[in-house]
Amino acid sequence: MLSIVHSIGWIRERSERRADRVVAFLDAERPWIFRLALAIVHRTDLAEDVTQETLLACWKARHSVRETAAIRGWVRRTLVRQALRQRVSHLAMDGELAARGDLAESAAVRAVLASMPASMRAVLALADYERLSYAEIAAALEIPEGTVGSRLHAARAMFRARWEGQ
Amino acid sequence: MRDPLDGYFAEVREAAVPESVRQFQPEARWQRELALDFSWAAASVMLVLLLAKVGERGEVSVPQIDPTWTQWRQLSAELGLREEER
Repeated sequence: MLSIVHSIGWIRERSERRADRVVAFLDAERPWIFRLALAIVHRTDLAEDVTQETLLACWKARHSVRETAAIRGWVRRTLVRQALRQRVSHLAMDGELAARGDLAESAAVRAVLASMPASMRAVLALADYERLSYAEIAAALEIPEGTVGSRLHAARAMFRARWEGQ
Repeated sequence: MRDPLDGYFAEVREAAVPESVRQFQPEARWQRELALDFSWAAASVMLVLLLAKVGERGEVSVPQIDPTWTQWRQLSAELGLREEER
């Protein structure tokens, strides 16, 4: 009986330790989470929403993480899910990016990206911004690995066609 | 000529992180949501109880009308109607 109680205590302690690691990761990696959200949704206000929803969802599910090594992938998957829910139909000029660098080109790229379907924008961000492997992109988008190549090809072709056609 | 996407994503890599993201506290937000859910649940229960109470009091008793022929004759006699008009 005592050993069962001891085991339960040990399991709970391990779960708490993993949850603490998740919370520490979420605190330390906010810039990464926000910028990845921005790479997918292209608007600061929407990226803020996506970041907050991701932080909240991951915080709520912090005890469900089994492998601490897989936290980044899990957070990325949660973020992509949140980002795909956002509607990016209206593209306003927002300060943060527009105020820096090549304003005209940046705004034009964002306008083209905003006109594309969310799944296309996401695969471009994961491949060209995050520079992930096909396996990692497949895990983040929750699609078969074989689909990643064709979707990425289609997304790049769509971007090129719209960029040249504008 | 550089790829426009590369240039754009390079800017995103350097984007400043807003204060709202830095200061965000998931636990505080979760507690607020929980309090809101509880308020809604409490309000729903109150509403159900209120409706039940109103229903209890608001039973309308409809008077039973039985216009039998006798009653009709009496009524028409009182009104002074002739036999053929009845």
